[in-house]
Amino acid sequence: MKMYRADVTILPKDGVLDIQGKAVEKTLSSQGYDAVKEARVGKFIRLALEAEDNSDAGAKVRAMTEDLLVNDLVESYTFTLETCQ
Amino acid sequence: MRSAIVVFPGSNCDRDVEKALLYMETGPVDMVWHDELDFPEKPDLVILPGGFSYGDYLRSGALAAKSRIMGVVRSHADSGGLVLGICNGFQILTESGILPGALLPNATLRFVCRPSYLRVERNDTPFTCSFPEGEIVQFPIAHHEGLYFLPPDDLEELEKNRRVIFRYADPESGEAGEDYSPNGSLHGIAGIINERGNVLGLMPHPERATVRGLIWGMDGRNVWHSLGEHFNVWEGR
Amino acid sequence: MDYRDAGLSDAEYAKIKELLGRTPNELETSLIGVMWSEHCSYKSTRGLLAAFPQQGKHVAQGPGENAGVVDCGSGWGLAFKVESHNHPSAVAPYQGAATGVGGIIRDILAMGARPVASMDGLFFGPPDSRGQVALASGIVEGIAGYGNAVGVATIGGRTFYDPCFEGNPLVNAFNCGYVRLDSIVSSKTARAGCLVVLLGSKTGRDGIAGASFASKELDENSRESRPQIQIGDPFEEKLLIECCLELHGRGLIASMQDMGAAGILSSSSEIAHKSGVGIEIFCERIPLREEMAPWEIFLSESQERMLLIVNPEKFEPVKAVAERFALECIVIGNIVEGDRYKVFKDGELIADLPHSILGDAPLLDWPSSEPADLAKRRETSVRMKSPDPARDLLKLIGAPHGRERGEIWEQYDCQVQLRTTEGPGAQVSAMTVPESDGLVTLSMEGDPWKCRTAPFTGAAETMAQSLRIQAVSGAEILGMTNCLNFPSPDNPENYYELSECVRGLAAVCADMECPVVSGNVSLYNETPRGGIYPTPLVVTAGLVPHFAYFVRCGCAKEGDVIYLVGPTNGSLGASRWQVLCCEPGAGQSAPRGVTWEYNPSMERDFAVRARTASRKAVVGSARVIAGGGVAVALAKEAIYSGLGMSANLGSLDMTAALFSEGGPRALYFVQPANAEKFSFIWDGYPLMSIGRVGGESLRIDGAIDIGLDELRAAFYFGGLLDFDPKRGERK
Repeated sequence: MKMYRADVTILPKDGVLDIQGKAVEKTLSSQGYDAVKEARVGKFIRLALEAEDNSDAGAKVRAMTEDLLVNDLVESYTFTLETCQ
Repeated sequence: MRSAIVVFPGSNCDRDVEKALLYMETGPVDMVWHDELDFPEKPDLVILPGGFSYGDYLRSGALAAKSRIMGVVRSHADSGGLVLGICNGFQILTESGILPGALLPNATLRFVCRPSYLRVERNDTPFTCSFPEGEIVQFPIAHHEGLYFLPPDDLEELEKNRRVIFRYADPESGEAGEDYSPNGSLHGIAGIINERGNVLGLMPHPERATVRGLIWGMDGRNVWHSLGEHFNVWEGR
Repeated sequence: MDYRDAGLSDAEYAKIKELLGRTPNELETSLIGVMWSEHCSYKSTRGLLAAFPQQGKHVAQGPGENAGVVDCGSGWGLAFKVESHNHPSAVAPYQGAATGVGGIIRDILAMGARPVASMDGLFFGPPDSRGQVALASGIVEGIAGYGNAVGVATIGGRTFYDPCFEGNPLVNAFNCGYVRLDSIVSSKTARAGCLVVLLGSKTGRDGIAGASFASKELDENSRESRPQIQIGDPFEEKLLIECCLELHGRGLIASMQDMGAAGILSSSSEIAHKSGVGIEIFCERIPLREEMAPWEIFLSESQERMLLIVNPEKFEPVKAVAERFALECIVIGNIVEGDRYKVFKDGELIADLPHSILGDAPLLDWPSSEPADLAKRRETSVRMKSPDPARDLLKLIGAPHGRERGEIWEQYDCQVQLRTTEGPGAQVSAMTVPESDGLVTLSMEGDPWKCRTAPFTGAAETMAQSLRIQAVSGAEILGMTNCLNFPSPDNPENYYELSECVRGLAAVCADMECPVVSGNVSLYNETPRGGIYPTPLVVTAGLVPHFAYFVRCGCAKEGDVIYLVGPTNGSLGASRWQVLCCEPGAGQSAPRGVTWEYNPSMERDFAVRARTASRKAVVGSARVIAGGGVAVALAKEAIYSGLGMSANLGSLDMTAALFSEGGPRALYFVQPANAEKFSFIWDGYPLMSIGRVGGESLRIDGAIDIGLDELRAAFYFGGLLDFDPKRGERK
């Protein structure tokens, strides 16, 4: 078994009202940062987990993310994996 | 009518619902801790009360939806038993997939606590049979995530099947819909029922408008009255 | 560690060496330093506070415990207290305010009471800069975020704005709870042989030396001191509440203490000192979030922890209950015979002090001198006459001080637990009493402007006003709690203001038989730009024996006769009108002028008659004259009742008649059929029938004629005088 670090990024799905994102975007542009075209507010979750190898770790992260960490009706996610001590 | 109120560690409206049921004399009430595997006695009605179930970290209701008691709540619902989810209870029902949709943060991005006006869209359910159809009633709301969301096609389907039971409304004109949502809820949806008609989820709190002498009225009584009628609680009285 | 870094003066350090007969080691120095800080010891104010009357027929527990308790009938007591969380909220608005709410809730819990309702006194800089708005909304969101989640209703409060609070915001958190009178928890019941048990969160570096932090002025570097901030977890607190109430209800604990300022140190040394026993704490047993030195462990202000004193045979059941609530529950020490406070680490004795040295900090006696400019503050330079009373009225009800604050209190759950009978927005908040038809009424008052120009009479007026509101609502007085917010006492002028304010509060409490059962002092509320005005905040608790006697405001009926009871004029000095409207132009001026002179016999007379009016059930609606005078009282009553009003004040000095404040005065709205009975009750007290309820506008002869819509626009939409309420936008 090896230790892995998974960084899960969760964002509202396209088409789902992202009120927080809109509020951030509006405030930024009202501050003169007009380069900003869109802001989305989501969540970032860092997991430390044990797994056999990379693909085992990936499968575990997908399972627990889909089971609990995201609500797939309104959220989508991506993740990265790294081995660690 | 035997009621079971599920108590999650962060539930804070559990005692209020109990108070309302006892006040209305609907029958025995069991308080059931979230990590129980079964109800102490088979209930007629299961209530998931408001509050912050597990602190509402991650998403409101998400952790509660995974709790031990939810297994038996689900099978109670599957066998046609009545389930009422209020506020956080509604969020738990959507998170566990017993009701469709999701409850997103209010459009104001703020917690909101105030009276809300609702139109009763159907009175042919066990939860609403004592209301005149189309009546405008006032139940208080108190939530941070009450914007009901469902993708457009599913929403259309939900409406077509008349599964919206309570809709935010204007008390004067009687009009209902998104314009009157205190939280940006799509189509002004405040409460929906499942296909079978035995599981109701609603954001406003009928138990907060039940006991005499408190602020914000007593319109919620008719929810308990409907349920009592459904189970013939008051027959012969 | 140098003793000065522990906040001790040369004289204090010398005293410690004398008391101990030796030089304290580093750990001992820091323990004593914190316990002798202003925040923990009240060394600057304990002498002054002795002036407060503490006895009364309703008092079940006076000062000295975590909160006071008064008897509210049917075997139940109300535990209540208000406490400041000013400095933490200045540095981290959301967490500062949230942990303020959490802390005061644990104080109430420590009495064995179920916390049922909160109120908050908030004092901010004017909301005209983004920084001030962000600070204020962070504080409000923190209160809401914590209070709502923990399931305790926020049923009222006060919001006040003045430039002196810019950089020095005040957050005074009040909480109250119900406890059976025969099961009040005491800190005097620890006995040798008991275990010292830590329940709740792990200990981390949160708020280390927060107690001494709160005893210093905020400087430019305060924003750098963020690691000290406490973080609150309302979910853990909710578990603590339910767990502690179950433990207490089942008789499993001998005593308990909340952990506030100076955490484990203060809670454990207090219990040893008050119970007259010795205590031994084993450092290595305390569950930690991170590696910490012993002094850090003892001073940590990590939130959501309680200290339990448990008989050894009851520890197993205690642990089982805690496990059900998923709370950590660890024995960290023992109660022993003797008078020593001992700390061990891995078997080695690392601190050994008599607990009296921790509990009895020497008093400080500061020099006092009347502020050089006090006489000048009482002068008014501008002629006190309003050129346009209608405009001034709209300004007063539209200003941040006067407008409806739904944007704040709609964020608070004001209903949870189903007791609230009168909530935010009303003059008095009210809730039901368990197993009784009675209502507990709560009124929070604070008026820094009046205390600025006249510390004694300003504080007296603050206190008297809270009691008038109680009397008009129909309540008997149970008691009061207070939070004294002041700048540094080491400035003699500040100390003078502090002592005069305390004297003012004490005088009214003695005259009106209102015992002081708990309180809190917050000093050093200043930044390099200046200190705050003297701001004593009071919360009184009252009891309406039956809900039918409760007199509300904002429910006048068409055709009601409007009575003004009390003198036609109060005083314009340091009034809302004087500060906000008196200077030509839009600006706010400093509070100036003479305030209403406190008159005890008149106050007593008023209170007796007001309660009689409640008992005879002849009142439709009533409102005590408060900020903005008769004009604002009429306007608010018109807005809340949804009805116009016509009045004739029959006064030569229209500005004073409309806008003056202070004194035992109120508006009553009475059905014509009850008018005779009502007048009889007030026979012998100044009473004037001034008009009738009805119509679509507020008309005051010779001064004001404003439509209800325009009043509402100002009141609900913050003084946007060109706001079109029908179209929901600016004209």
